[in-house]
Amino acid sequence: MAGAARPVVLVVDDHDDARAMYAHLLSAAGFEVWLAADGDEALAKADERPAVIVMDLAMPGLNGWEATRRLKTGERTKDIPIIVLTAHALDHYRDVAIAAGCDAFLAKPCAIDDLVAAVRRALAR
Amino acid sequence: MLHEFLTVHRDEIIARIRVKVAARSAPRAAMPELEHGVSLFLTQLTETLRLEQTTTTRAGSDGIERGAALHGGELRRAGFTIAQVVHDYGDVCQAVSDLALELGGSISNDELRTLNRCVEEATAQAVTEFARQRERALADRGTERLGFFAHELRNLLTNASLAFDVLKTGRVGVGGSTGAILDRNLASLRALVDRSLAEVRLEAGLHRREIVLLSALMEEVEMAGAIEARARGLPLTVTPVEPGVVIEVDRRLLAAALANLLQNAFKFSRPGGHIVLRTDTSGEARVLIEVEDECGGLPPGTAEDLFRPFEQRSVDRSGLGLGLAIARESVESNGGEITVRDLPGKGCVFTIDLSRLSHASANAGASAGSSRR
Repeated sequence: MAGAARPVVLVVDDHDDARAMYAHLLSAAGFEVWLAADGDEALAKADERPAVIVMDLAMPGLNGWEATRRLKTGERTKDIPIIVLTAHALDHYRDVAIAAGCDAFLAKPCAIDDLVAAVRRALAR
Repeated sequence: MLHEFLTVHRDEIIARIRVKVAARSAPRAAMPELEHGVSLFLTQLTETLRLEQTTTTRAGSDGIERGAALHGGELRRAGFTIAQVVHDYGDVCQAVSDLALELGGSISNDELRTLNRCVEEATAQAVTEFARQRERALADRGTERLGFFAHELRNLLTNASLAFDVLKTGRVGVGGSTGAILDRNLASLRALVDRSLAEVRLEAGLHRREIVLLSALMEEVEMAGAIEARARGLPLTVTPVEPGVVIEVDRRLLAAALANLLQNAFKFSRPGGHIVLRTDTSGEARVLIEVEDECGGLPPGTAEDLFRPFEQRSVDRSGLGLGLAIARESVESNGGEITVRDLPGKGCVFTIDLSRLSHASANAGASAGSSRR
């Protein structure tokens, strides 16, 4: 990858273990990975314009629904694709996440190949 | 006529019902609720009696049934029991009869039958609505708990699966941090399943007490706690346990209660805080097991509220607020008691107080156990 900038994926998840594993696996798939543990940290890092955001929903402090809504209404961040990745798998949660403005929705447990494919699709748009 | 009697003495009847309800054991009706429900019923009752006494056909009681259904729902939300709902309508009937007697009036047999019929229909409708709403509330809570369980399960399973994916690449060893993540999340999955099973056992009344060595139980709890301590980056100190001390408890329920207390301590302790799990067996008859955290101290007046189901202790709303309620139920089902004391500015201490089994009882129990095997 020398010389070529790797696309930046911002992973937002309050579980330390999940962040560590996504960082490892997404890095191995060719992405640069930034991490945030809650919605507030996500807003701050999104200001630096990552290529894609992978967003958990249920988090202490500012949750993923509200963070998504704010990012999608922010002038500087509204064009960044957001993939919601959550253990809330029922249709209701999907509907609320889509209403908040997310571009794709994946339910945990999600195979890393499926997540990588979703990130690539988001980058291709 | 009775409907005229009810109209003339309406205020007096309501005052008497109010006195009767106020004399009943808690929970007591809030006055606006009482005035609304009772006065609505009296209005409908008066109208039903008037129609029956001025026409030849039996008056319909749809209005009474609708009003009673509303009243039954209000009583449930106010925290009443079904028995109190029945009493509420019985009080109306009693107050009317008592006043009529005192004032020398008479109630004809037809009027009495209509009064009784209205009260019976209203009671039945109120109780039916009360029970329907209660069942609905229980089902909703059950669904919420199941949803929470599935959510936690999915998170832990995801972490474990991702760690396994990383290990499969062969780039990292099982003994490193990824192996620890797999280990930790599998342990948390086991703990989640154990806690859920403990809830099921509690609800189903499936308690099975056995003689348990305190040191063995604490060792089991410490192992689960140590995993959580590593995950949270908070130290856990377990004080030495006096050898040979035995208690008679449902081991799985008590272990689940302690796991809930420890999980609570890890969740609420401030960064850099310290959690202590200690036993006190200095008393001859009691065994005390304590979990001390560094949550910063309890807000004033909330100690008892902490044990109420669905009570949330902080801005961190993860979880359902059931852990401490379940812990209390588990401990009480073992004949014990659980309390909390505040350490202002520092944290709090949860104490489980259990009966200590004497050596003679323990030996007798062990012998009985041996002979059964």
